[in-house]
This record gives sequence, structure tokens and C-alpha cells, in this order.
Amino acid sequence: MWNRLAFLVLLATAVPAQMPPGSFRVDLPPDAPVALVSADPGASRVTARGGALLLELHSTLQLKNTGARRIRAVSLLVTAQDQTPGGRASVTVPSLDIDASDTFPVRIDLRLMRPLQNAPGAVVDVQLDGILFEDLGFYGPNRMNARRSMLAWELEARRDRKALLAVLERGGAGALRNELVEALARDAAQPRLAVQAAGAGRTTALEPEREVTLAALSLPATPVELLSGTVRIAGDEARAPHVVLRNIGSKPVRSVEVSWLVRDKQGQEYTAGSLPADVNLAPGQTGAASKDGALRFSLPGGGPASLAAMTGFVSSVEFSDGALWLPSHQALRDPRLLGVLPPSGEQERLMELYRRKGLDAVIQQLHKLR
Amino acid sequence: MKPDTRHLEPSTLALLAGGDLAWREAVLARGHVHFCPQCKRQLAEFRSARMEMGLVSAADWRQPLDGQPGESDPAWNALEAEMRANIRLGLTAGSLASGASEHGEAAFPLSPPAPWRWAVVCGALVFVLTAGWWLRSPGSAPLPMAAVPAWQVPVAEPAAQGLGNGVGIQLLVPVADVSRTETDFDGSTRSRVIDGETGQVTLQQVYVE
Repeated sequence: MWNRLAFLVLLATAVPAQMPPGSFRVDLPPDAPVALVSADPGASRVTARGGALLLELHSTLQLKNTGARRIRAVSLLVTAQDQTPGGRASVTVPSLDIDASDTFPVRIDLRLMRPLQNAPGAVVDVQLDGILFEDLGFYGPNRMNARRSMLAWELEARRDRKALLAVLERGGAGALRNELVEALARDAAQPRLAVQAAGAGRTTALEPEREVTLAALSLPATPVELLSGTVRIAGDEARAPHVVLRNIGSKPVRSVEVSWLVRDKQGQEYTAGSLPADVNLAPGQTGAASKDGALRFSLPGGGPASLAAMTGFVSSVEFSDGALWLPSHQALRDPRLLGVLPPSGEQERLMELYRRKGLDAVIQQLHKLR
Repeated sequence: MKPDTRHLEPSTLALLAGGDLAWREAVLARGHVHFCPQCKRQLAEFRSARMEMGLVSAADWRQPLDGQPGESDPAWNALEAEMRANIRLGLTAGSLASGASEHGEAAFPLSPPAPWRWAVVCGALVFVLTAGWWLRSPGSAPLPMAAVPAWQVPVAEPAAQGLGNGVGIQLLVPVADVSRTETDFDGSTRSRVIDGETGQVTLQQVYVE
């Protein structure tokens, strides 16, 4: 009673309050191949922000593989309020290698929103959304399309580990070290822009908005071609992208991810995220995808970036049978992309491993996950 | 306070013997040594040891490596200065760390802090708190942000219109080890976090739609 009262008083003063006991609930299906060992709500806090609660979650769950198959990835759905914008999140841990009966941690570090009228008891529900096994089999309700993102990560990781292993076998440890050092240097030298959602209305009146045609970059062996596209650009903002795609492969396509690069007026190119789009395209069929909303780009120093052009390319394709197409390692070494695209998640993980634990740790990982 | 903590640390005495203490600390230390026979004796030992070392140093240490006699070789002088600076820095850091963690008090309090010092500290604290409260505007109270590289600093926060249409909301991951973040046109964010200790990758995605 008094705890709850103190909690309400703290909320009313907009001072971050520790989440009360019982407000963090982990709910795993009884037949799930993982079980909860422990859930530490950690230093999770809640703050009143206008008519909403801002939940800052810092928690670590310990899960145990109770099945027989090795686990490669796990995705959890974290819900503060299902219908609230910013009320749902997913937490995915890829690149795992969890044997039967082994335990592993899942870190949850998130900010979520929840309407104030539902207080007190800022309840956060954690549910299982999916598990990807070593044989690429999947378990779970897949509410947030976890299967696609975990499969994409795993296939990308296998592609990148295979490429590094080839370097190791061809040139030995020295060649692998050079490859990692070059990748680290490329990543450090890569120009980056800060990106934020710009909201519904235009916020800059300095430059007139203009429609810019997307330059299409076609990667080898892509099953979907980016035929054309437009985006509206004004100063540091890009809004309402629209792309026209054609399935040039032989299998029906369920969804496509178009990645893009932006070029500023100084000619510097930056990676600028991607547009995942659900398109159902039969072989030979053409379809369009578009998004509302706008992104605002700013330079590392904080000043607005001045956008001049955008380039798009198809970076992944999900077929109707659940299979995925990803660009080959060789295709991504296109000089146009090499200095601009960020390293893949697995490349970055291995680069970090090299930086912290040395070459032997990387070689061990490459052999272990062969 | 235990009685033995009232004596000077051997490292302090060693620095005092070499004239390497800062001015204020040297004055306090000399004052203490003046009234403390035990520290005075230890200081004398350090001085005597230094004298012996000084003889050795004069005879051998400054001898150039090629065997030619030479005095005040600039390279040796520079090296000595560098080593002295490093030793001093190490001793200072060590005394700060051990004094704070082991005894809960500094190893160098020669005398209990005067009441006026507490008053100054309390006054400064009250000033800082008052200034902080005064400068804090209710409409712009910042979110508790974790330290992240400048280019990842979350610039957008829940919009003024609240949760109405979802436009303008962007909730980023509140930790320092975010390696990169992507933002969708609707404000949804995807962050890649790499744990510095374990190397485990976590993908945190917040949905706005």
C-alpha cells in the first residue's frame, strides 16, 4: 500500500521511480523449448511524461534450452501496451550456439511508452516470439516477423563467416588479421549521419521540397529488380519514398527490403537505413511499395545534412515459401558499396571479438560455428 | 579513526624526503613530522637512503653507455624526470584509491577537517542543488540518457502531442554499447547492442506503428 502510494507520488513529480515488484512479467508457453531460469528487473524505472508513462527497462533474463536442438537465435516480444505507439518492442539475440540444457542471458534495454491512466502497476509483459534452431527450423508465434529477421541474420552470418574462413584457409592467420584490421579501419572511417523520424509536417521552410528520382543499384543475382523510385527531399529531410519493383526470379515473393544511400550536396555518400515492404509478387509481376512519414538527417556535429540524392538497392528478398535471398559476399564488395555500407551484424560481432580478445578467439568462433 | 592512520604513509614520507610533494602537502607533512617522532625517524631513514642512492647515482647511473665519463647527460635527465613523474602519478592514484576504498577515509588526513571546511562544502552543495533546480524547466526536463556517441544521441523524444497518432515518437535504446541504430519512416527504431564483456549481440526494436 505504502509502496504504491510512494510510487504514485514519485510519478506525479516526474521523478524516475523504480518499477514496483510484480510489474515485470515473463510468460513463456509451457511447450516452449526454453524455460525461464531467472528474471532480474534490474534498474528498470518509470517516469511520468505528460499523459504517458515512460518505462526505461534494464533487465536480464536467464533462459534455459529445454529442447534437444541447438538454438541459434531467440526473439522476445516486450509489451507495455499493445495499442500504444511505442508500447511494443522486440528483443532478439542472434548468433547464439546454445546446446540442450545450457542457459543463456537475454538483456532487455528498452524505452517504452504506456498511457498514464493504466497506472499504477506499469506492467511489462515479456513473451516468446520465436526461436531459430541450428537446422533453421523455427518455433514460436512469430507475431513480429521474428522468423524473417532471425533467418536473415543467421544466413548473413553464415555467409560472412564462410568468407572469413576462406581468407584464413587461403592466407593463414596473418591474412585473417589483415582482413579484420581493414574492416575495422573501414568502419571507423565510414561517414555516418544521425537519423530521426521527422513527424508528419515539414519542419524546414528554408528549401522548397522537390521530388527526386531514386538511382537504382542492381546487385548481381537479385530476384527482384528496383525499376524506379521517388522520394521527396527538402533540405535535411526525405519523405514519402515510393518504389516500383519487379519479380525477375522464378519464385513468388512475399516481402522485400530496399536499402538506401543518401548523398549530400558535397558529394559524400552515407548509408541511410532500409525500407522493409510486404509485397506479394508472382514471377514476372510488378508492384509498388511506399511509406508515409519522413526522416531527418543530421551531420555528426549536429548540423543539418543537406540532401542531394538517394540511391536504392534490393538488400533482401523473402520468398513465399519462407526462403530468403541475400546478396553474396562478393556483391557487397562492389566499390560503390564497400566504403559506405556498414559491416553486417556478424562481421561487427567478430570485429569486436578480435578487438577485445584477439585473433585466436575469432579463429575459434569460425571453426566452432562452421 | 584508528591511531595508526594518523601517521604519514611511507610513500608520502619518501616523496617528502625527495622534495617531491606538492607545496601544500609538503607543508602539512612537515608540520606532522615536526610533532611525530616515529614519522621523523622514518623520514630520516628515507633521507639517508637517498643519500646513499645519490652516491651510487653520481658514480654509476649517469655514466654514458659507451663508457665515456659524462655529466648530466640530457637523455638520462629526461628519463629520470619521466620516471619520477610516473612514480608520482602512480603513488598519488594508489593512495587515493586505497585511502577511499579500504578505510573509507583518505590516508592523508593530518588533522580533522576544520568546521569551516564542512560549511564551505555544504554551501557549495546547496548552491549546486538550488541552481540545478532553478535552471530545470518542467517542459524540457531531459530524459535520463545513457552516454552514447554523438552521432547516436537520441534527438527525438516523445512528441508534445503525446500518444495521439504516433507521429514524432522515437524511443531509442538507453544503453551505451549501442553499435548502430536504424530509424524507419514511422519512427520505429532498430538498435544493435554488442555486450562489451560477453560479445553477445542483442537487437532491440521498438515499434511505433
